[in-house]
Amino acid sequence: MSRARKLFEVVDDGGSGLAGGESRLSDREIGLLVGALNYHSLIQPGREFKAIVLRGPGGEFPRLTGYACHRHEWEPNRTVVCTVQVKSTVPVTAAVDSALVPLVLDLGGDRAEGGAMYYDRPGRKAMVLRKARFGAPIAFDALRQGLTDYYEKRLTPNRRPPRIAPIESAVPLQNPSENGEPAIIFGLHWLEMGGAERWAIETIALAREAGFLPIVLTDRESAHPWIVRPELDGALVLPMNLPMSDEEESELLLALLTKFSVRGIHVHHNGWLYHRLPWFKAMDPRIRTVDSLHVIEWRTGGFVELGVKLSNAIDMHHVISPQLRDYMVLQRDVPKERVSLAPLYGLNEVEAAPKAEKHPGRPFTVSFVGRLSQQKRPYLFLRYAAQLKRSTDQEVRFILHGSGALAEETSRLVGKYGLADCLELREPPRSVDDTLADSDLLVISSDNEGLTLTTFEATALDVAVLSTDVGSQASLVSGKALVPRQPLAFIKEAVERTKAIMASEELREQIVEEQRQKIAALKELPEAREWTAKLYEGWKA
Amino acid sequence: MTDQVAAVVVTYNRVDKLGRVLDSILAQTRPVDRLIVVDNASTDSTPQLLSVYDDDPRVEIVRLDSNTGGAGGFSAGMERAYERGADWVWIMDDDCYTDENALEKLLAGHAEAEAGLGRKVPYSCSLVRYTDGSICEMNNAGPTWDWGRLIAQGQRNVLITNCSFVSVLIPRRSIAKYGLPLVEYFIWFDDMEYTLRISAEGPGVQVLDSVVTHDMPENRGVNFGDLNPGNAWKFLYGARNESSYRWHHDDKLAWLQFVVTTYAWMVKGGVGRRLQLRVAKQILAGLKFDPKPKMARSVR
Repeated sequence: MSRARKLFEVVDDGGSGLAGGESRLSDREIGLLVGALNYHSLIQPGREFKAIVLRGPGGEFPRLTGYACHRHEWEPNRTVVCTVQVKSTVPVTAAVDSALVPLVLDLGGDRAEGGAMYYDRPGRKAMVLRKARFGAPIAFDALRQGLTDYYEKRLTPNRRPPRIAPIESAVPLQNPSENGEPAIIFGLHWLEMGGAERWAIETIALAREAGFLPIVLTDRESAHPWIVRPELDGALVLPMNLPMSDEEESELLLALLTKFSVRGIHVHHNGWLYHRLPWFKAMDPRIRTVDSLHVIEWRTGGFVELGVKLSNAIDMHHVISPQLRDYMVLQRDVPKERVSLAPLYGLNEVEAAPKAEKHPGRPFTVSFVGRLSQQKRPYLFLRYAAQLKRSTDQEVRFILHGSGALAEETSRLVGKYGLADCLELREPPRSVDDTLADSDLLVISSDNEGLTLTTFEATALDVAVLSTDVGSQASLVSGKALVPRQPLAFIKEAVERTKAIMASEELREQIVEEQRQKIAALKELPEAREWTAKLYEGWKA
Repeated sequence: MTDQVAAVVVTYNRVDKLGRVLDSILAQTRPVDRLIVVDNASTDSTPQLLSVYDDDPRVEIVRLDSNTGGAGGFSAGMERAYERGADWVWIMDDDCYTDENALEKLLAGHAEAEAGLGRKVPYSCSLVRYTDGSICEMNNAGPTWDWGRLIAQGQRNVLITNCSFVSVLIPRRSIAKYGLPLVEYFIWFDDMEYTLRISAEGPGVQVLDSVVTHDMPENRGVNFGDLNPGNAWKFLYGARNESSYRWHHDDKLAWLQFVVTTYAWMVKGGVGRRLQLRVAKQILAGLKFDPKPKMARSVR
C-alpha cells in the first residue's frame, strides 16, 4: 500500500487497494493512482471523483493528468482494472459543486521507461539510424562525436538563448497560505533509474527529515518504477502528463502556492518547473529557488543551459563538479556567489575500504563497470580490448560488469571481436567491489560524465583508472590516464597507455596515488548531502 | 572564501637571480597562496637552489623534461595553477624582482579598473622598471587610443592593448575562456599574442602603483636591426610567430606593415642578406603556421 501523502478520502476502494487490504494493483500502480488522484484533488478542491482505472500492455506510458483523463474512451488494448470513488480533502474557500467528476486514469504498463534512444523510436528515420548504429558502432560513434565537437566548438558558443531579465519588483502574494504545511517543491523528469534521479530522491528524503512536505513533480512520460521507493513515503507525488490546458496549469500553480506554505523549490531535471520559476518568484519572492546541475550536454545544451537561461529566477545553482562551476561562473558569467560547488561522493567508503591484495599469478586485468548504455559505450571498451589483446604478448584478462539496454549488442560483440576466451561478463547483483578487487585497471569509455562514483570505489581498492577526458573526470583521474573521447583516438591512446601501465607497476601506482590526492582535494569541498541539508535548514525560517 | 592567487615563475639557467625573485614573491604584503616555479630543464644548479624551498608548502616546482621556451613554461605553469584552482595567476620571468606590495596593488588596481569600466578586465600588469629605476625599455605595454580613460576618473591605471610576461595578473576567467599561451611559439611574441587574444572583450590595464624591477643585462628594447648570427634563433621565432599572428588573427594590412617594418629595421641595422633571407623564410613559414590554443581543465 502506498505510504505517500493523500489529498483525498476513499469513498469506494473498488478493489484498488487504496484503502488497504487486497488489491488488484501492484505497489507501483497504486503509487501512480494515488499520484493521479492527488493531482485532481488538488486542482479541484472538495470535489468527488469517480475514476475508471485502466491498465495498458507493457511498454505503454501512464496517462494520469491532462486531457486524456477527461476522454471517456480508450484504446482496445487497455483493461479496466477497477473503478474507485474518492473525495478531495483539500480545504475549499468557496461553495463546491457536489456533482461527481468522472475521470479515466490509465496506469499504462510495466517496463515503460522514458528516455528512449533515437534508434529505439518508431519510424523510418529511426530504422535507418538503428541499422547504421548497430551495423558499424565505432564508425557511427565517430560521427556522433564529430557532431558533438562541432556543437561544442562552433554552434553552442554562438547559440546562447537570451537570459530571462531579473525580477526587479515583486511583493509577496496577498493571501499566501502562511499556515499551510511547510513544503518544498521538487522537479524531476521521472521516477526511474538515473544519476540525477538518485540524487533527487536523496534530496527529497533530506527535505522530509528537515520537516518539510516534499511535493514531487515529474514532467516526462514514464512508468515511474521508483514511485515505490521508501524515500517518497509521506511525499506528495504528482506525476504530470504534458501538455496541459492553460486553465489547468493556472489551477495547479495557484493550488501549490496557496494550499501549502512553499518555502523553496529544488529543480533537478524538470523543464516545465524550470520555466515556471520566474512565476513563483514573481508571485512570492520569499520562495527560495535552487537547481542541481550535473553535466554539460554540448549537443542539446541540456539543463545547464536551461539553468543559465533562467538564472535570474534561481537563487542558487548547485553544481557537482569544478568543471560545471567554472562553466557557469567563468564562461556564462553567472555571479560566483550564486554557484555552489558541492560534489556527490562516497568518500567515507573510500577511506574505510581495505586495500586489496593481488592474487599471485593473476594476469593483468582490465575492467569496465557501468550500465550498458549508449553514454557508457561498452562497444568501445570491447573494441579497445580487442585491439589491446592483439597488440600485446602479455596475458591480459577483461571483465565487463553491467547490465542495460545494450546487453544484447555487448554479448554479440564479445564473440565478434574474438574476446570470448579472455573476457568475463558479469552483471548485477554481483558486487562491483568483487570486480574491482579482481582488477588492476578500470577503463571508463563514456562520452559524457560528471564525477564517476566508480573512480572513488576503484581508488579505494587500489585500482588505476583510465578514462575519457570528459566532464569533470580530470578532477578524479590522473592526467597520465586521461584519453580523448573520439573513438578512434580513444582506442589508440588507451591501448598505448594501458601497455605502458602493464609494463610498469610504478606507473600504475603513481596513477592511483594521483587519484587519491585528487579525491583528498575534493574532500575539502562541502559534500552535496551536507550542503543540501544546511540549505533546507535555512529555508525553515 | 578569499580568492586564491598563484604566482608562476618560469626559469632557465638563471640561478644567480632566481632566489631573489622567489623571495620577493614570497614576501608580498598580500601573500600568494601558491608559487609555481617552472624549471625549463635548467642545466645549472637551479634544482639545488629550488630544493631550499622544499619545506615551504606554498612552493610547487614543475620540472619540465626539456626546454620548452618561455611560451611552453608559462603555459605549463598557468595550466598547473588553473588545475590547482587559482582564481588569479600572476606570471613573471626569473629576473623580475617584485616590490613588496606589487600584488596587493595589482589586485586593487584590477578591481578599481573593473568598477570604473563596468566590465571584466582580462589582465593587469605592473609598471616595469630597470635596475636603475628608469623605465624598462623591453617591457613597455602598448597603450590603447583611450589610454587615459581611467586616469580621467582619478585612477592610476592605464588602458593597454598588450604587454610582456613580466608581472601580469590574469584572472581565472580569461584562462577559462581563451585558453593558455601557445606552446608552439616557443619564444617571442607569445606574450603579445596571449594578451591580445584574451582582450577580445576589451583591453587590459597597467597598474602604475604596482612596480617590479626587471634585472636585464642591458636596458634596451629589441628590433630586427639587432639581428646577428649569435641571436638569430630568437629573431627567427619572432619573425614566424608575429607573421602567423598578423596573417591569421589580425589583418593582412597589419601583416604587410610588419613585413615592411621588419625589412626596414634590418636594412637600417645593416643585417646581412643571408640573415634577411632566413627571416623572410620564417615570415613565409608563419603563413602556414597557425597553432590552436590549449584549453585548461577544471580540476579543483
